[in-house]
Amino acid sequence: MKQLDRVRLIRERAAYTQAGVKAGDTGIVMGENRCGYCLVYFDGEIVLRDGIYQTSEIDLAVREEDLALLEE
Amino acid sequence: MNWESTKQYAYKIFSRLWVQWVHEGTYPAETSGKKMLNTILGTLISSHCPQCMNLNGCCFVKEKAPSPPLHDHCHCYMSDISGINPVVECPTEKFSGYIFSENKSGGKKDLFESWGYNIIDSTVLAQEFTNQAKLAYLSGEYYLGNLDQFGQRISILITLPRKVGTGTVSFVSGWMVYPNGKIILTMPYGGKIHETA
Repeated sequence: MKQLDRVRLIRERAAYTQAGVKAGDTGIVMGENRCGYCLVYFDGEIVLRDGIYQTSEIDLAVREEDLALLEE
Repeated sequence: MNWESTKQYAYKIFSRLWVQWVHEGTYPAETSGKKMLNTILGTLISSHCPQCMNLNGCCFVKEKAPSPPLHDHCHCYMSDISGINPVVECPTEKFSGYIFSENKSGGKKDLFESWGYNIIDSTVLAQEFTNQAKLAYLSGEYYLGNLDQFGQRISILITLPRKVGTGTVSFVSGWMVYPNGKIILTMPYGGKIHETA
């Protein structure tokens, strides 16, 4: 996986579940592959709260073997 | 920035107390390569955890810092420092290849375009993000984000003038903290303001 690849989580682990991510969720790689881990921002929704644009995306270190590359 | 804002930022910059994370026995990882090495060492040597090693040398304002110990037998501590000279990296590709990508940004392209920005503004946006993030980090105006094998992430509010219509828009951006006052953009727009701030 490389930066800006679209990916899907294909395996569940306790750390992922704790962070609120489950198998089938999709996201984008926003951090370089580090020792087998990718920094993935899992898709969320755009939220306008208190006049500040935020999102419900979840950023999480994910093992590369737990990700499948999505075709663009 | 008006005179009142300038005064407020100046006050914050000079009144903040700074601390630096110290993990004794290892050198701070100033680069991605060294961070990777620390992660590998942390994985191989069970007495060192990747989080602690990647935090080594990272600087925070005292009231917005991760708190040691992070785990049993953690021997990390915070050392007071006089201040930082921030170094900010903001890759243009995060705008041209993500925010303004039709199929990757998940609606963010439409949002930025509704504010009047498009792909030709990528370089200008990267420069503006750099300037605002440098000032925000220096004045301690950030929010602590997640901490994992990649290190500590922080969120910084970015405010841009609307090029369509009037007024400004504010949104959350995500950054990775590196040692000795360095931060690198991970997400131009994404995430939420954490309660820890």
